[in-house]
Amino acid sequence: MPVIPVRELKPGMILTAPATNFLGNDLLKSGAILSEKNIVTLKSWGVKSVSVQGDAGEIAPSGERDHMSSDLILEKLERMFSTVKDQPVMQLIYDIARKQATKCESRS
Amino acid sequence: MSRPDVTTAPRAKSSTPSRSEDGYMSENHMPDTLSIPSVGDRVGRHSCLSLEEIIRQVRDLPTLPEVVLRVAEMVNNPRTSAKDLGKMVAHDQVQTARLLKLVNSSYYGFPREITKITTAIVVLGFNSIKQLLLSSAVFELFGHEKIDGFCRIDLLRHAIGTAIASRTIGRHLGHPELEELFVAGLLHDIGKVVMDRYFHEEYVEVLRRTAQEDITFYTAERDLLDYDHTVVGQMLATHWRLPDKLTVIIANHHHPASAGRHGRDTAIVHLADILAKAKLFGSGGDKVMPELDPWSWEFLALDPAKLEPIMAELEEKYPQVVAMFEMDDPEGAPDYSQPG
Repeated sequence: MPVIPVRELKPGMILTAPATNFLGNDLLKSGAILSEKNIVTLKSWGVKSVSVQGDAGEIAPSGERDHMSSDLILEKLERMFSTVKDQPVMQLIYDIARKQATKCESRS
Repeated sequence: MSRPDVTTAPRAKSSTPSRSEDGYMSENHMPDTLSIPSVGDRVGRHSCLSLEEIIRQVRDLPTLPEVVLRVAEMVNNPRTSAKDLGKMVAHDQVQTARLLKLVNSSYYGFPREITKITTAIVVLGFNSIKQLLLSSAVFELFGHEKIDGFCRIDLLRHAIGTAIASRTIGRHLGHPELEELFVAGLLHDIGKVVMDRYFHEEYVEVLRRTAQEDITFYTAERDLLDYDHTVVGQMLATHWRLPDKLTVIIANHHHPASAGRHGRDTAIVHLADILAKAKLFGSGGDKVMPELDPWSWEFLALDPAKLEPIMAELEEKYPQVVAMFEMDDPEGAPDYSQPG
């Protein structure tokens, strides 16, 4: 499920997650097959990247975290959580954050 | 109409919320400073800046556009009609243009251009109007400047992450006011923006200490300054005449148990702040995580199994919301194509 920049979208691609605007309203639903008009819509709302089906396109930067390698993210998380691991819920949040960071990396 | 006097009002001794009116002010009601922990009691014994200096600086800050305040207030009144709200928005040309642009953007896909603000309000809905106006005012305060290697955009991103997380947690808890939670998350660290802009030396020193000693921003600022961003944020919220609930959340997001009747919403923002940090969305300046407030966790009674889907949802929503906020022109050029 690559996340690709809107500028690289092509008609016919299928969204695997809803595209939302900054108010959180869905612009397009998951499963939508993109048309030229849809792509213009996304651009006009300033959406920078969306999640699409298949392995077309490269993994796009979707935020500052994507400029970090998986190792760097894990290192950063390790440091951040070093003082709160005695709290079971924080340990759980840490585990989830690590898992999701690794999953992001494996997509590339 | 005089503004609440933060030099005197906060000195009132009551620190627990007492009034039961809704969180929004009417024209004749100032924010209930009595329900908010006293700034006078919370600010420094050995602070570099005096309380008077901070107050003077905050008073010089730009005010929130009147229309934003009035709209926030009117939206909560069940008697307000779209026409009433339209008349209010129409007083402010900038906000009028902004709303018309939004409603004419491709998302709504109307075949003809909407030129009346009342029609726009009917289409967007009252709550979206309120959220849009508040968010745009906040965004203007954040600005884009980069000073001394610390980018304010990181703060904005952290704020956006916390806003999305607040709304997402709220939804999982069946909270009825998700729009309000979003705005509360967006504003929770607004005191840091003020510090960065107006008490910049102190702010940079706090960041330096945070990095050197692996402590939270909150701990560092209390060590160094003996006032903190929650106090400054509370002052700004009062200066801006924000709804009482928002002011209480800003003032107490590090210790929600003190938020009285707004404890639940404050606890949601507290947890959201932590989740946004765990997802590395922007930066609130912390090098280590703040502790999860045990009272908040117990009070929210969130099923731990929901944390994973909540955090996955943040991952999905965050880039798109960031993209919207960071645009120079958030609504984009209107086009009238129909969304699929």
